[in-house]
Amino acid sequence: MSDGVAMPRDGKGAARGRRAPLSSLWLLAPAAVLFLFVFILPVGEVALWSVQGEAGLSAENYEAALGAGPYRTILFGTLQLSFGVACACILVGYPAAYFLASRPPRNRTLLLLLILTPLWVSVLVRTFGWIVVLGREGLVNSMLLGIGAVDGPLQMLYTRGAVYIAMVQVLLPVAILVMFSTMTTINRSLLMASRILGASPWRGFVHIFLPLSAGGAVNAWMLTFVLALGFFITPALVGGPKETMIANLIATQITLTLDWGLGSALGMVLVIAGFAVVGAVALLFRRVTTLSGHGGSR
Amino acid sequence: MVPTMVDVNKPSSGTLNREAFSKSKATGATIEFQSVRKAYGSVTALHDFSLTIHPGEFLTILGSSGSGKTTALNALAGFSGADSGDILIDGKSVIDEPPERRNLGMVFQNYSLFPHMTVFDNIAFPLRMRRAPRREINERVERVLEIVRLGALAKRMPRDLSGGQQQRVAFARAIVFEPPVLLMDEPLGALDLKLREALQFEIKEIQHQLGCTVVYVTHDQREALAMSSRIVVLRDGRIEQVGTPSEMYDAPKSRFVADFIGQTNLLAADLSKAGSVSISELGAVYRDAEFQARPGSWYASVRPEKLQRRPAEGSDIAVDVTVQEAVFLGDVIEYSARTAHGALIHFREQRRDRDRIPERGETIGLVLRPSDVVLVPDLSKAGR
Repeated sequence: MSDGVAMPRDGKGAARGRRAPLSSLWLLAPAAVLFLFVFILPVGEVALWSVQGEAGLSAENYEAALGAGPYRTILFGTLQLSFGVACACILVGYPAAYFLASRPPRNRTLLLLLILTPLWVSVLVRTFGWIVVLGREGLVNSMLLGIGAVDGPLQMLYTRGAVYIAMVQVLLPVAILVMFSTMTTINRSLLMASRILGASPWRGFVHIFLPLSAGGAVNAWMLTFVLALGFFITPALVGGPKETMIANLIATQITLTLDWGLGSALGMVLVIAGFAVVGAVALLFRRVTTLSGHGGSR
Repeated sequence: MVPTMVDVNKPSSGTLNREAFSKSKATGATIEFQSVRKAYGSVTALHDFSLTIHPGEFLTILGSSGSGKTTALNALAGFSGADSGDILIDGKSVIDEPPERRNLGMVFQNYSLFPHMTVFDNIAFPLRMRRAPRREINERVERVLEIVRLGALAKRMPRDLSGGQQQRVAFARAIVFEPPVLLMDEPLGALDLKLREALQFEIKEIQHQLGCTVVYVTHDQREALAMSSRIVVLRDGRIEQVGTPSEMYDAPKSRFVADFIGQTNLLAADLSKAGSVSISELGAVYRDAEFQARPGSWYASVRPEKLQRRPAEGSDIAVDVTVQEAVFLGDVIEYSARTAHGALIHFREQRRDRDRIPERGETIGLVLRPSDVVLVPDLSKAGR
């Protein structure tokens, strides 16, 4: 190889290879176009509505949305509920995902399919299911009354608890799926290495598996949190008036009171609050999330 | 640029820091496999595996994939139990102990460095698991980093290291707690040849210094010959032969070992009742009373360097061959040639100054001493 036929002489070739080649950016085009028309433009329009008062530009809608009063209470209630639901999904889903990921690949597929079956049923149907289960004459109450554990039917439907249970149930498969996919990238020989180097199974889990799978848990948390923020059907059907979420409020403004300005402002606040929380979480756990994908698989 | 980075491509430049071994020699442990048997479903991976490994020995388990070598190592490490039999370390049965209680160092084939930990934390891991005090951890990790000459990389993450550097970290992590036994599962398999040879040398050096018992698993017979004090050749879950590298090379006990270790010419041999050995493909007949009328199918193993171009003397076997190919390798020339009886054989000679290399088609006379012929049975045909 006297004349450097195969190797760039100036060494620029290597540097060029590392940069994302511009020519492949067009692969993003279909997604970008779709995103523009179904997300950026509509949200932009909503943003415009939200700052329109009776006489031109005005912040009055945001004052109404964020000022002391029911709207702000509902906004914080929504954030709080979504936070709790996302945390519950991670706590309940992590062991399940761990169990799945530690099965041999053949059994894994079937089990994963079972976990995902709820996703085939619409949220509406699943929520109605909870009405049947939790209602005054529902399954749980009949059972409790039947065995004499309670004197009269318990009020379970139309409570915050009902909203929690139904939302966790709806979002759990998503959380499991996200965490599971991270866990499968973790090389099992790392756990063997930890054992031979002196770690008990529990310490191997704490020092190796947990940090390597934490990125997936954080991603799952962010995803379920954002999905929970926008929940509408579930709190409307199984929650009481106190469990009104901001999505319900927005719907009321748009469809009933026809206050599109306030509805838009609430929508924008929801989007921004969601971004803020997710951004903060991503920033807080950035060391952990950059690890996933490096899950030690080689 | 990192000026202190090790140039692992220079095998002879003494990349090993001898002064770093300040502590006195630790003593290696004795390992005894007693009739260890392990089956996976209907496949028996290991049949009645019995072997005693002496303190400080560098024992290599050599075999192709599926030979049971990894099964044997995993049984010793405690990753997979045994169906029957026992494993003793320094006379104590460890068969029921989990891996973390066996106090073994281990280097994995893919290194298995913890990707979320720095080089320092990776190496400190076994010490932390043993709840060593912080000061001792720092001292030991620093010392072992010096031994493998990676001190400048302590704060790097594994993914930022080259393959050779990762291998060194894995090695440092395995020896930092001075285990009496070090297990190595094809630790050099992923590296290129030059680096592999450099690290072979270093591993040997460090083992000499530490004095630990090493159980090394590989499918590379050259690696096994180069590093081991003893080699165990495994085949289909059974021990084919145990011996020092020179015993394995000079006195293979089966056709498989003769073929597996080093290069050789395997030629069918007839053992007569009268005590003569006939190798028809060489047109050679000579007397060897030791092999008088042995049952089974036998082969003559003739190493390529034993066939020589020189005047015949005494009982030498003379073989005329026609050169098919001469491969020039610098110091050595390797030939393939055909005998008058049609067999293709290989031989090799040291190149002396300005020797003329015989050309293709040329007929030359070779000489072989009967004592350089090793007769080996074909055990796979003998119905084991």
